[in-house]
Amino acid sequence: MVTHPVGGMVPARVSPDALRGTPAGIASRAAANLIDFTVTGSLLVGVYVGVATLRFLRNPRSFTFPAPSLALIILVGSVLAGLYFAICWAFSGRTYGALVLGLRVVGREGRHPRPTVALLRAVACVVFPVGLVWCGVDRLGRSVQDLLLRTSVVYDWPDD
Amino acid sequence: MGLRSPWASWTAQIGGAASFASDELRRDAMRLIAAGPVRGGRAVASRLDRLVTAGIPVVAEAVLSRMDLTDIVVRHVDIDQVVKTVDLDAAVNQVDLLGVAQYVIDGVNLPAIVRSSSASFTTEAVHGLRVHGVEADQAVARVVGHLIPRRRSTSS
Repeated sequence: MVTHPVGGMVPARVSPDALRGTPAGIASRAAANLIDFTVTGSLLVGVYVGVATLRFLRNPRSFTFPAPSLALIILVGSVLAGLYFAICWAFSGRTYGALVLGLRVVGREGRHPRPTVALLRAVACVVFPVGLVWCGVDRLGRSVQDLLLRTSVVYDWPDD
Repeated sequence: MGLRSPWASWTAQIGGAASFASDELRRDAMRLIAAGPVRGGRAVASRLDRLVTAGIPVVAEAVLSRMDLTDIVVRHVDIDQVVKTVDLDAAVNQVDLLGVAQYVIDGVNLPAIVRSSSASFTTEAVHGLRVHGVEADQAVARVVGHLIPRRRSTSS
């Protein structure tokens, strides 16, 4: 479990080794989420193109582009985001955004979360994304989801 | 002897060619006297022309092989002036530039260079992004620490 306060143990000169394992702050995590949002949007576009292609192949003569409702887009996007988060956290503790920003989600043992925890955390993040804001206030940089599932997001820059 | 080797053979070659030519000329002159002025004059001129044609390459080869022509050209020829007279556009138009470019690209393995340079660029960009993220986290933590003094006192 992470016990260092955010910014408290971070040296003035940024060093990956010194940073490893210290809790990440809200700025890094928000940036990572922004990248993940873009990834999810790309997945959504991919699904749309796939569905449109299938429709075209099934009936090319009366083909029109699908026009899903906003609610359906949000629903499919949320499912995609949840699956994307859960799979990434269960396998490596990193989404693509976390990989770029050098972050990792860890459980109580300091390893990436178990599949159940990863899935629950993904659902919590998709349903209540505002919970991230709490990590800017919490001394140990934990979001609402982290507090519920006893996880943390730490700096862990991968070796380039 | 120093004079013996190059200069002696050169002199011998030129001397031999000159001696051969003079012997032939003497014989032709005798024929000219015997055969009459008009007919003999034509024959000697023809013979002389053949001799000169045969002798010039030998003499020229003997002379030129003993001279540093490159040095002479560099010292006495204005190469820039010569180049100005060359129609470079016409020369370039005769070159298969696309073929040359393809040959160069095949030789330098351009895809590998592009891959390595873009990988290096990406690595630096990502490193910079992470550093900025950490600095932003520290800045936010400081601001929050000022706004919530209790949090600052516990973290320090």
